Amino acid sequence: MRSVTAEEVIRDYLDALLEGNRRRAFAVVDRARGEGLDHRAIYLEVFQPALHEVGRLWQENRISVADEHLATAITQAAMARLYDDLFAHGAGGGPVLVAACVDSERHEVGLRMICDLLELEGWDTYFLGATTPLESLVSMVEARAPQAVALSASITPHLPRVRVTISALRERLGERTPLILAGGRAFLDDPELAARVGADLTARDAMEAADLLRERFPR
Amino acid sequence: MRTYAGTGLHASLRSFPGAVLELAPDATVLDSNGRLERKLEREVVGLSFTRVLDPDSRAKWDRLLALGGEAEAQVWELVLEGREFLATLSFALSRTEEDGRERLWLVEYPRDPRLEQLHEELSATNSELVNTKRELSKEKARLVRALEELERELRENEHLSQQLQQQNEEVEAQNEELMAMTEEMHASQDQLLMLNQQLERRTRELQVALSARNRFYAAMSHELRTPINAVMGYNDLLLTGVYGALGEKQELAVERSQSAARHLRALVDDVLDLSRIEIGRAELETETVDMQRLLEELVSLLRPLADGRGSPLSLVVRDTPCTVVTDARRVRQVVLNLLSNAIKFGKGNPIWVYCGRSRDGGVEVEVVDGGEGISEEDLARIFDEFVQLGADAIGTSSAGGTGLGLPIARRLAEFLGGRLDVSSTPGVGSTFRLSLPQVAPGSA
Amino acid sequence: MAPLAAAERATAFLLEEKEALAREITRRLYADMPELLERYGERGRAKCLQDMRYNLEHLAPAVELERPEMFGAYVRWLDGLLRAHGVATAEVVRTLELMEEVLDERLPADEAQAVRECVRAGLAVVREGGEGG
Repeated sequence: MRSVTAEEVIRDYLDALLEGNRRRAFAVVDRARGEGLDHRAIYLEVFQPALHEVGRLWQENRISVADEHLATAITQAAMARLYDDLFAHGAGGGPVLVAACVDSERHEVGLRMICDLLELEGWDTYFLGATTPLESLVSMVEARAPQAVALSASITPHLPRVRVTISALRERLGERTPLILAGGRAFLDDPELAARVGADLTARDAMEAADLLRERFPR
Repeated sequence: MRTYAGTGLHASLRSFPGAVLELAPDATVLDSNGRLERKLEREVVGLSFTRVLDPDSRAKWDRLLALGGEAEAQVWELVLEGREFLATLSFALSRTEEDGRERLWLVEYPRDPRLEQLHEELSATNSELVNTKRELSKEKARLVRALEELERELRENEHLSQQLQQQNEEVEAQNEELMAMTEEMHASQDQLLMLNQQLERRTRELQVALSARNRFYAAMSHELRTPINAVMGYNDLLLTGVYGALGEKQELAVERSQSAARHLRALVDDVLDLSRIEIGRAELETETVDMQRLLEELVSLLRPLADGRGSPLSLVVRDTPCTVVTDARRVRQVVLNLLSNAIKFGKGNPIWVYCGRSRDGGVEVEVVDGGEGISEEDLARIFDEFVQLGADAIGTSSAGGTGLGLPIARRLAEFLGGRLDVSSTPGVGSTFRLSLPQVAPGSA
Repeated sequence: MAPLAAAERATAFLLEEKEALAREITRRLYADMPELLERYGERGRAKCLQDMRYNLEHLAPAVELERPEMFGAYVRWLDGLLRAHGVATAEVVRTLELMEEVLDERLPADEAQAVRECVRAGLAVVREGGEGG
């Protein structure tokens, strides 16, 4: 039973982020957890909207790059604090996902959030993170033989790297190539770009990604 | 535009990379080193600095001034708002007093381009830390699950182990029992061996004794025959009047004597015969015997005796012809014995005599009575090798001899190549069966 | 190996010559609009050069994937951002015009055509919707 709404939490949380006050931010999250918000709710209704808002504020020049970096760093730390609990709740034994940002891409938070949410649904995710070298990614996919691969790009200049990465995967693995999901802000305006760069699927956010993959791989 | 030679900005301040502003206590900008954006400078020099601050920054500025001396040596971010320009600059505020005049100094901290890089590095490092934490948490959860699984297995194993232990103990106990039983068995075996040996010894002793007895009997019967023959001879002589005519009383006496002598001789003959049989020296005189006729004769011979006892005798011949090659005299001896026993122990119930062919071409004769029957234990002993010379004989008859015991009858049957068996239902009756082969052994 | 398509060749050129191109376009912009130096000073010019690099980095994928509207979307975003910083749309317009000019000079006809389509998509965005300077 929730006695606190996500809206209240996110207001508090955002304030703490913009203050650069990590202790307060952690306290807000802890209180929300205590009031019954589960991991999925915290991710989709607090962290994700907060990061989007921070990005918007930066774009409108209301906050500086440093503010944005700090807010992101605090949110990442807040996520890290929940990891022991999150993975203890994971079911395990499900399909395998390998997720990576292409080698030019530094923005990894969004992709990591998708992986974390999928873990809650029983997926076994291997998160390779930002700027994953092409060869490392291909080798890892070959070694782990996942059911799906997720690639992320935040701006359009990274799209060519996504294309190269997907080609390399298909060339190395042929028939064994797993399902390829491409996403990130670079794909938001034009979802057809995903097919254009050779991917099988695209999603607009963590929830959509989780839904799509759940459909494809029912437990 | 104000010149910069103004009220005294030091030359070094003029070449400072960041903007330096000299302000009066009321925030009027008195002088600038020209590093502020040109447009801004036009807006500000000679006028209040607060004109170019955005509302938040204005409030911040007021707070700054209110702090007085404590405001020094800190870096403040102020957002400067021009009509077409918005910029965030970092300033340090300082106060001086010179010749009684208080001055505020705003010194801009130009952004070190390496700060950007540092931010990026820190971000990247932070991300890596979070990733590491993620992997560790995931691994930890996996280990916990594995440990739980292990614990579960261990508990199961323990349970199984306990079960095994129990079974082992049971097997142990059974083993011990087995061992004890085996020991007992061995002990019994030893005993048996010992008893066997004893038995063998006794049997040998017995055989020795039997042989001795038989030789004794043979010797004795010879010894006995001679005087008996002498007696009978003299009796005959007396009766034929060789020694003078005999008076009536004398004749009677001699006849009785002769009868007794005859009887005695028959006894001795039988004993001799028996010992011959026992030591295997007797001989069979075989001929083709019609069993039906033989049995009919015996039955009619004994019928009066049976009737006298109240036991009707019946003969049933199942197969005809019923012939074998055998020694008739011996056969008669056996059947006679069986019949007399049946009559004696029949309790007045009917007695049947059956005769039929057996499967191997021989003949079977059964004497069935309705007597007391014979118990299991006695069945085993009834043919025991203890010779009882006619102890149960019923009367005498010149045709059948003196009557022999069952052991004798069995020996005779075997002598004839057959066998004598008995079965009985205690309280109801008994059946004695004499089986004879088609041809007696040693026949021509 | 089959000869690369015009789009691929143009993209390669954009990325290889990014620095030289950025400098040339900036130089021409400041030559055209001297008030920029007045307003923003040297610091502003350095920032302008940096922005020019970004512009080219965003032009490249639109050319490679043959999606002029991709660059148009970028220009829309850029215009909004700059206006928030007090930079007039006219500056963006002029920047794009000079970009087209420079690339037209430096590229063979087919490659220039591939690039022109994308730049013009950006111009269309700021000419119609943006504020004039």
